[in-house]
Amino acid sequence: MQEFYRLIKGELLKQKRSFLWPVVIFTPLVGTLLTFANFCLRYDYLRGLAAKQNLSSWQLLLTQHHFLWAFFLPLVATIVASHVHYLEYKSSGWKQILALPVSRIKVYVAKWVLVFLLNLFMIIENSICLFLVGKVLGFPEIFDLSLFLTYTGYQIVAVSGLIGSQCFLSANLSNASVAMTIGFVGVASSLFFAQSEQLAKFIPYAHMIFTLPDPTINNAIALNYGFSCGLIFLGLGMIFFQRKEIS
Amino acid sequence: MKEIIVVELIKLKGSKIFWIVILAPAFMVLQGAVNLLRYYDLFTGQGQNAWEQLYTQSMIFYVMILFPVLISVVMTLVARMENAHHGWKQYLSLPVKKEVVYTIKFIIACGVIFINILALLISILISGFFLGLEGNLPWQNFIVRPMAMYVAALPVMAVLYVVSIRHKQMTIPLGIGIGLALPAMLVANSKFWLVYPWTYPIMAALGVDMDLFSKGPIVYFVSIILLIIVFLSGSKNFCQKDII
Repeated sequence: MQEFYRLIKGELLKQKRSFLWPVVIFTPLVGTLLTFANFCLRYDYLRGLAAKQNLSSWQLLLTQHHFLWAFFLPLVATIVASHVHYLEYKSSGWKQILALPVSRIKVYVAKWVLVFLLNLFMIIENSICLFLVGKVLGFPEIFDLSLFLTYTGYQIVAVSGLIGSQCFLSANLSNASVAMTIGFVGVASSLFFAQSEQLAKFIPYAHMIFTLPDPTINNAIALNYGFSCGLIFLGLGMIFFQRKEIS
Repeated sequence: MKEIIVVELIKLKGSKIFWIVILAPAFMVLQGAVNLLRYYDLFTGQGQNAWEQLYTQSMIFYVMILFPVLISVVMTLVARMENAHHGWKQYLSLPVKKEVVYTIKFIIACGVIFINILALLISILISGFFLGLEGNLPWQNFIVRPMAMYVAALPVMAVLYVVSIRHKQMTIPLGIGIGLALPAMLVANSKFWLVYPWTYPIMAALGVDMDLFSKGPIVYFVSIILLIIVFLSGSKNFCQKDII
């Protein structure tokens, strides 16, 4: 355990001076600022829409924000996963790290955990920023804590499938651009995949779309299949990484 | 100059960039074609041209998300070849002019993105013939709109090229590319689209019939002006910068 903890600490140290932190910090800020601008410009229209659809202001905020965030988070998660692994390819770091007396599985899982923690940070920051947007706009209803906690929790589970697949690709493809492009194409097509629930179950890029707590959206896809895909890709990644030849 | 072009192309050859720019739009077209097939009656029920519908279905997510993100990837890749392993030092110690290298790299990157658009068009044609679509192929729109989209995207390419060359870390141009691309989805639906160049490709590719795009000619003019300003300032900065 001590060894694993040190590995994660080492991973965090590697990112200390990287641009990854500003990307992770600014992504939710940019996303919520856009939603804020959207509400400022069309507040009356959106209030009317909420009344027509029988939604509270907080529900409307999540619904409006989700359309953007469901693309934004997976795109940035793809960059994060690629960057964390690319660092090792760039400076022949795999050779050095795997020459140490640590198991390959622990090295792989440490990177997975780092990517997961960075995504967790973005998801939580996004929820906090949305809460602040609601407060600044002066929503008349009491803050819907359970709605926000549910939304945050669903995202954390759903993103694990995407992280699993992108870490798997990034660790096994030495060309970071290929892993990233696969991720970007997947995210760009996610809405298409989401049109078919049967197909969306098996596509980790589409799981984020199903995280909005809304009666018309099947959240079970995000929860059950997001978690399952996360586990399967983590397992596959460990197996492939253990067999990977480092040249 | 010819040698530099050849050298740059050889460098790109092993980077898999051509696979990326060809297969990525092909996949988006495949998705558009499947979507058209699935909702064929809905999309063509009122006598709409099936080819137009295939174009729109393939283009929506491509131009809104994938195209600007792919521009970031291509620019990052082109710059990364020198940014990694102190490549600039080796390159510029040769008897080559800094501004020539800078310009040729940009032209080649723009050429790669042009291949990406050609791949998109060819993929649409192949899938249309494969689906046996009825109706006349609207050649003029089919060719003009993607070319207009390319011209409209030139300032975006220039900005991301400047950022990619300036910063060694690939997360910077990628982060900026995505961070500026996604707001375009919202801004393109508002009256403010003209002040945000990231919306220009969207409007050129999808907005031809919309009232909003009545300012089309201005967009191309602004795009060219922005391209010149951004490229020249980037080139000047690059020539003055010390390579450490």
